Amino acid sequence: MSLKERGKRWILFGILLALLIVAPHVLDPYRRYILTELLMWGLFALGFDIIFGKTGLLNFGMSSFFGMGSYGFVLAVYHLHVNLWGGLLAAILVSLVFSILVGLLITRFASHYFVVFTIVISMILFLLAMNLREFTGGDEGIIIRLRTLPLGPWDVSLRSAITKYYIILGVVGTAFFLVLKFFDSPLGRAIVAVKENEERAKMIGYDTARLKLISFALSGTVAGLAGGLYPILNNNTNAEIFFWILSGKAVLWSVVGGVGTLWGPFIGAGILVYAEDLLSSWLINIYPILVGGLLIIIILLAPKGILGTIQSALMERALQKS
Amino acid sequence: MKGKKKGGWTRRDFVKTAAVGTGVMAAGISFPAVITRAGTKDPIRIGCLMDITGALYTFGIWGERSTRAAVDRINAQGGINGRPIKLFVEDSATNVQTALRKLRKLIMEDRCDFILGPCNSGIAISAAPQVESMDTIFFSWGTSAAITGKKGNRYIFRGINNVRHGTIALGKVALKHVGKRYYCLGADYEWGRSLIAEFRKVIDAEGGEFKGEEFSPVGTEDFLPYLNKINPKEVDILVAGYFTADLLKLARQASEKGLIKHMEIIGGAMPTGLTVEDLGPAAEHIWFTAYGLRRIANIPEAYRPFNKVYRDAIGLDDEGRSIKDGKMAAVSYSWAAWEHVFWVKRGIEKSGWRSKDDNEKFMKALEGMSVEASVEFPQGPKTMRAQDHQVFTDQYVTKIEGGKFVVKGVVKAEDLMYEPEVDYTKQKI
Repeated sequence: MSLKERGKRWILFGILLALLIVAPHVLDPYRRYILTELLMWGLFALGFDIIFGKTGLLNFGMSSFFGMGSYGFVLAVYHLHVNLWGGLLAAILVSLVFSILVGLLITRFASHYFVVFTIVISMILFLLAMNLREFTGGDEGIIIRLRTLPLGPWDVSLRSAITKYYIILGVVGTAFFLVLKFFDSPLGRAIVAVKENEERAKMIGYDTARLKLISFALSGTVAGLAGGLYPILNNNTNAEIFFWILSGKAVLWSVVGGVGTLWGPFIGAGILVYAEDLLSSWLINIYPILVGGLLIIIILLAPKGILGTIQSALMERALQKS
Repeated sequence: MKGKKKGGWTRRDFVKTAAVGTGVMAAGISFPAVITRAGTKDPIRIGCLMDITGALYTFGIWGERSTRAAVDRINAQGGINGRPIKLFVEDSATNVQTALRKLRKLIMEDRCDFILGPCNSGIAISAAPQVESMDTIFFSWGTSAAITGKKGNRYIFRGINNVRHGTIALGKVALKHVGKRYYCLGADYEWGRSLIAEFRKVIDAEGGEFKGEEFSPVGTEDFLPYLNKINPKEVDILVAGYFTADLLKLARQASEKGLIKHMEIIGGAMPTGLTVEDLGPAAEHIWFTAYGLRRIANIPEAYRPFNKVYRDAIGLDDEGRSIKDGKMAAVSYSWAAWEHVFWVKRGIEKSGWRSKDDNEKFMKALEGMSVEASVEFPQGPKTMRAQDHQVFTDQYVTKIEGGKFVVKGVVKAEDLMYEPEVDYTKQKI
């Protein structure tokens, strides 16, 4: 990426950030809530984009990491009485350790086995979470009450939806920025090289197994961090978040937004969640068919996802010009 | 004009305009609040959040129809305290994440005063902290005991009995009619074990004679190794801690083994949306608990005319099937969705509720309220216990005999009492 292009990207990032900072004061409470939720789901789908879009490993068990992060947060708050920061730290640590352990086990497998293992792990976790009700609350979940957020000498009330929005924006923005920086670094580029051609990457001396493990751990930790945001937004978590449907959503959001673009998952989550929300209110009995139809249309018109297709078109135009 | 370009703005113009604009905005913000307090003809906004799609759609569809029919009835009769009801319906998709978004939509965007929630217990529990923080009263017809326990709060009301009532009723009726010697067999995980433990408490208190217990791994296909451990001559009741599909499998295998001649199985709640034919012959050996009755002929005669009005309003026949397509409905539960609308009506009428500012008055009005059987409460008389906002009403025990569900016993509300886990009346609003 040229210096000029990189500059453009950071300007875009800055404009977007400025808009997101202003947004909660312009939007009505419900739109503000949707936007808060979309930031969280976008971060979750970003986790999938890291492992699939940037590394080429199809992880159909993303809900495992989201769930581990979410329960890491809730159990730390519930049992250890830590504050919001402690909860988020617990979410990161739990999902990081979990993804390293799982990654050590499965990143060496060939693609088909890898996919099957990710599904199996998420189903095992779902069943465990449903059955260990004393520990997880099962489908009823665990309710937590976070009253304040310690910020230096101040305690900020968490009753305000705007405060929650800014916390989630801050976490998502920071995580996204770090992921962008990571894939701009030599290590990040080496991971992409594994996706492009693993054999060639091996030939030039990369330890591809290690690179895949790093990417797997990063992906799981990002998804787990998103899981840690879930109880901040909803004051609870439950076993349902381990269910495969949530993994499927991460895949859909990334595919619709543009796999491998890192920005795409946010766009995909935004379009699909918002479309479903609107359609389900207007046409309550037939909306699942309409959402499915919309999905087919997007995939037919933009096979690389919305952002992927735009990027391809821009690149083609630039090539033609040159 | 001095100091001002044609078509331009001076600082004074800007300040004036900003002042006027701010005034208009302030008026705009405060005006609705004034209207709400003063405008007695404004509609009461009720949100109906149901599982219209997803795993529990049978409940959701009939819950929505019941709610709509009740609202139409009230509106046709002039509304509540002269105010019509405006109903907003949203689909939870039987999914907690979707439900929480829709809940917020109903409260934040549609400005609903009350939410009539789905029969999904997980959604009700997840909704509890949200409705509390958004100062909105929520009714649930989920049957998990926790909804009106430590996971609930003062904003949550439930107009249907819960699983504890079902267990108490099954235990009492089976001991009276079948025998005292019992053996427990359940799924080896928390739910199965806790259900068995709950049954044991009830049956032991009633003088039952415990003969042993066994737990099978989740997903067991072959129950014979477990059934073989039971001495049929020593056991009258087999207490089963399984969901319906496994319960039917167990009953079928027990029947094939010939155990059923000597003992009866007591299990969970009456299956919803399934006909007697769907359940198969093995179901004839199971005693189910029921929150309501699907066949009108089984309903106590005094309540039957009220129940008939309810069924006509939502398009159900006397067997609990949809008149439109003949499919079995969720009528043993969906009456609660109808009654919830009337709980709102009674609460508003008694408390004089006019806006959310009066929520505490509404809560106090409903806490401890008793209602008689009527068109508004077609399932029968009931009391909303003050401490935990849990309704107490008669609980039925049914069984299939001769291809039809028959009532084997009714346990009165006063015999279903248990100690409340919480006292919401002490919760400050």
